[in-house]
Amino acid sequence: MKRYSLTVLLALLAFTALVPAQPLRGSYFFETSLLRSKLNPAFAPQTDLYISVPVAGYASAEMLSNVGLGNFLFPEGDKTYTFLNDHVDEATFYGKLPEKDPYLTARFETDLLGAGYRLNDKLFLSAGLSVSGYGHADIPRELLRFAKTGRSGGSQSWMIEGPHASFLTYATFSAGCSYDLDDLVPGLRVGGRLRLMTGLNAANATLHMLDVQMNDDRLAATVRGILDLSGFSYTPEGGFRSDGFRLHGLGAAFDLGAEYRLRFDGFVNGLNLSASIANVGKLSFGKANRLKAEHSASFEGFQDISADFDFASALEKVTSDFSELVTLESDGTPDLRYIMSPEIFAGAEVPFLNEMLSVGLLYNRSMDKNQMTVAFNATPLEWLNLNAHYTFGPVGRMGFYAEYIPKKYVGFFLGFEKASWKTNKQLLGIRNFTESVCLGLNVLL
Amino acid sequence: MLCALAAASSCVDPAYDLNRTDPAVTLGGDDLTFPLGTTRQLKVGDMITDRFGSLFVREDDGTFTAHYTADPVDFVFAGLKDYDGARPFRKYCNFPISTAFSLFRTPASGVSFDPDGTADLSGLLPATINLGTKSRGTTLNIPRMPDQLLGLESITLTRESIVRVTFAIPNCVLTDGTVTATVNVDLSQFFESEDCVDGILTVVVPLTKENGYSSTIDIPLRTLKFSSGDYDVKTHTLNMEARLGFNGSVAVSGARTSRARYESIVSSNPLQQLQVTAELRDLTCESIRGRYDYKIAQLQTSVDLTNLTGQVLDRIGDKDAVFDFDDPEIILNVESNISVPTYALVKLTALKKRAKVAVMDSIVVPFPIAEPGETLHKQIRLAKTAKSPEDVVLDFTELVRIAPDQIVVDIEGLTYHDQAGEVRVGVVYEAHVTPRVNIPLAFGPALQLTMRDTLTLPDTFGNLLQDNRLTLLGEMTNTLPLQLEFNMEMTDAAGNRLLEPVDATIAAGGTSPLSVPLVPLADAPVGKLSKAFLTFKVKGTKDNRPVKADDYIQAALRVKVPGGYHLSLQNDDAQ
Repeated sequence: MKRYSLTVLLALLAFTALVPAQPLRGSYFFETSLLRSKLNPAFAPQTDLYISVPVAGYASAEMLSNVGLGNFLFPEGDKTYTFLNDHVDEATFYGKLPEKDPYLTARFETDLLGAGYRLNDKLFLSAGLSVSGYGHADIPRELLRFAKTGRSGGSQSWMIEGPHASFLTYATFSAGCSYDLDDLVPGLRVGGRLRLMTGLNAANATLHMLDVQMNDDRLAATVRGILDLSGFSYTPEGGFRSDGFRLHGLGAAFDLGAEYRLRFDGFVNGLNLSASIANVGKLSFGKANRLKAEHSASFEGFQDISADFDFASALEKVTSDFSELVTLESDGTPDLRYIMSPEIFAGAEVPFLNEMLSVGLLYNRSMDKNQMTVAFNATPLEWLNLNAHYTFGPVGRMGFYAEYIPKKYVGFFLGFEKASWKTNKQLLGIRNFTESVCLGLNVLL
Repeated sequence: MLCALAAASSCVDPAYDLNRTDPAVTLGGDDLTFPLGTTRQLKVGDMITDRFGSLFVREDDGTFTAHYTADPVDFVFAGLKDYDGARPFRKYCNFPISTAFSLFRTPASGVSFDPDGTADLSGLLPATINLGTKSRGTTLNIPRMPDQLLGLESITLTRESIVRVTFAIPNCVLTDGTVTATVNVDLSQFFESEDCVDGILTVVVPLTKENGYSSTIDIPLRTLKFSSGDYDVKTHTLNMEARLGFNGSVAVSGARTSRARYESIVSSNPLQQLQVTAELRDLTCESIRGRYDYKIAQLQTSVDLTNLTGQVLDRIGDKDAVFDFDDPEIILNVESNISVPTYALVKLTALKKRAKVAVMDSIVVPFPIAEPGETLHKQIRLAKTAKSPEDVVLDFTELVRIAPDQIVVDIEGLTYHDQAGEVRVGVVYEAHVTPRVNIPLAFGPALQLTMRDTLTLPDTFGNLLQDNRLTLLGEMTNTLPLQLEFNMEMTDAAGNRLLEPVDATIAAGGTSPLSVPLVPLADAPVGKLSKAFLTFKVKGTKDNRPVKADDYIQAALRVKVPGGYHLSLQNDDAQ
């Protein structure tokens, strides 16, 4: 079977851009759902006690992007061409590019340990230990134009600013509680969760400037960028090396939420309103290794070429000069901090038919992006939750959620969202890479 | 939920299957161009030194010249050396010219002697006597003038040449007193003297008892005068007829006589006369000015050009090269004391492998005229264009163009018949002539040289051309006054052509744009590209400017990748 570098390229793209999609979105309106409290700490499951199966108790992965395979691959007849192929003209390719720089964000989270316990009728406690990872990358349109068009567009210089790529992994210990304030305000329930975080490793690369000049007489590039590393070390000789499993720094965040339930008689059984703010806090990785690349290289052609000119050595020198552009040098140990991106959820649900069905609207603001989800929820059986929803936002996507939640023994859920229901054989989205999946296996006692 | 899962997994579009994706990508757009570089200035000075060593000498003005010097040839005008101009004159000197003037008659009476036996004649003789004028005709014949003398203009005598004039009163009656003769000696028909330019010499001679009433004076002579018809060119004889004249007066003072003298004179020779005798003495010829007919047998020398044609051809490697050296010159280094207007008749014969291939003859080269007694050194330049009035215009470009390996120079010395010159008797007249051929590195439009070179190409070049079309762009700066035509053929190791041949013309004396597309032949295995055969055809121009050391060729090159840089994302190990 052929192996393509293109596969590597696209795989790389797949791990580099995204906005949080919260794959648990489908569980938001199910009262019995086990882990929807991750979206709003005021939510409490109906179960008295649950213990997560390690790692499998909750696992989610999501990917968000403003592009898909269709932005870069162009079928024609029995062949498919990349955007850099001669068969794809510039207008066709540029017509497919989004107005903003393409990006890809990836995130995963898994609960290593987790448990919830109803202390009494009003109070539900939960705790867990999870590992999360986050990666993001921008691909400047200018870089794509440079690769595709070069000087054909009339430009002889390209200033590419701000490409950014980062990833980080961290462990979180969270403890939360949900308290029923029905006595105070009928139908009101509030909750909170505190997260204590410690970093595992992180890398944060920013290319402040990539200035490329290419004309008939000169080829020049100037690079200015930094790379902050935590959990990794770098030496020019040995390259990047992991420092092994170590904890780096500390962080804290909290979630706050409230739920207000009104009950009616009739076809419509009530109105459930809820809101939460989550992920308010910051995470510090402590002292990071900062590496910088600040170099210029130019090539005005070989000088004094003669019959005995050593092209190999001269070419080697030019290659070396341009390789120097990405040579990293140590530049201190600044603090590496991440301000957590707060998320806001606000939901409204109308149950009907004895709360067997409901429709809901869920507003979510995450990373400065507003999304509105319309959800259709069904609980045909006491132990089964089914959901279908569509999220409007920068990237519209369809999602489904199913949860098996008996009174005891084992509960299971699976949810996913996809922006593109058409994929290629490698299951990469054609319209958009955005998709998410979550699943969980928990012991119910 | 299951339906949704089924729907999600069933919506697979095979058109986006990565396995059917064409791995070919193109980077950089249609106008992908990189600077390649600038070649070293290929300076003519360095190239000539490297290739031809000392064959071409760098001149002060930066031009180059190949110098070839022939063995010298010596001209000797031996026929004039032995001419002795003194001999005929000496013969003439045996015949002095004499004349006598009557002074007074010895008085026959009235002479009273004093007791001492002497008598005062002052009252009896005239105090002043006008001698009147007398002349004597004579002929002068010089029979053995030089055979080569066509016409005689003048003969200059040596400083020893004199005319000795004797004044005497034979049997003078006076025993005391002075007779002062003031005589004009007219030599104007014979000679010129430095003392009397017009040839008339006034002599004042006192005759006394102390000198026995006889006195002699020498008059130096310088130039022998004659008319143009006096010289017979057939017999080479000078026949002169001229008259020698005398006139003047005599003053007598204090005249006394003795009885015995008086009695012997009065009875036998009473008429007293002043006798004047002119005698030419030691007349010797110093130089003869005239027109000469002299011819020196043809002398031969040669210039060996084998290192020019052979070495240049060998180094360039073009046996069919056509040299069109522009403005070659022949320099005749002349060292001469010849004072007769003379010229050389030069004949140039070009030989190639000892066979005569071209001849230029009847080339008249005037020789410089030395002042009598001096030896001059001079260079006579023979070339297509004259740089000075003394240069001889001679276009022998064609002779050099055929690239001879030897030029034979025949030189014949001759005198101009219509121009006079002065020849000093006894002097050896000779000239040493050393021909030198200078061939400057300047070319005419017929120049055609072909130089070839072969480059071994790296394997990567062929691989690059498999997927990409490359065009070499740039500018060629060529300050040489030569046009270059460039051709390149690229082949595999066996010599099979793989690319379309490339041609380019590089204009002389300027900058020419260069666009060399490298286009593979249809179905040619370009990856096997191995060699590039380069051919430079060098052509002359009408500019005729000589090549200078600072002239250079330089290329500023760029690589254009029409259609962008093609590469495959498919890994090699996947194939």
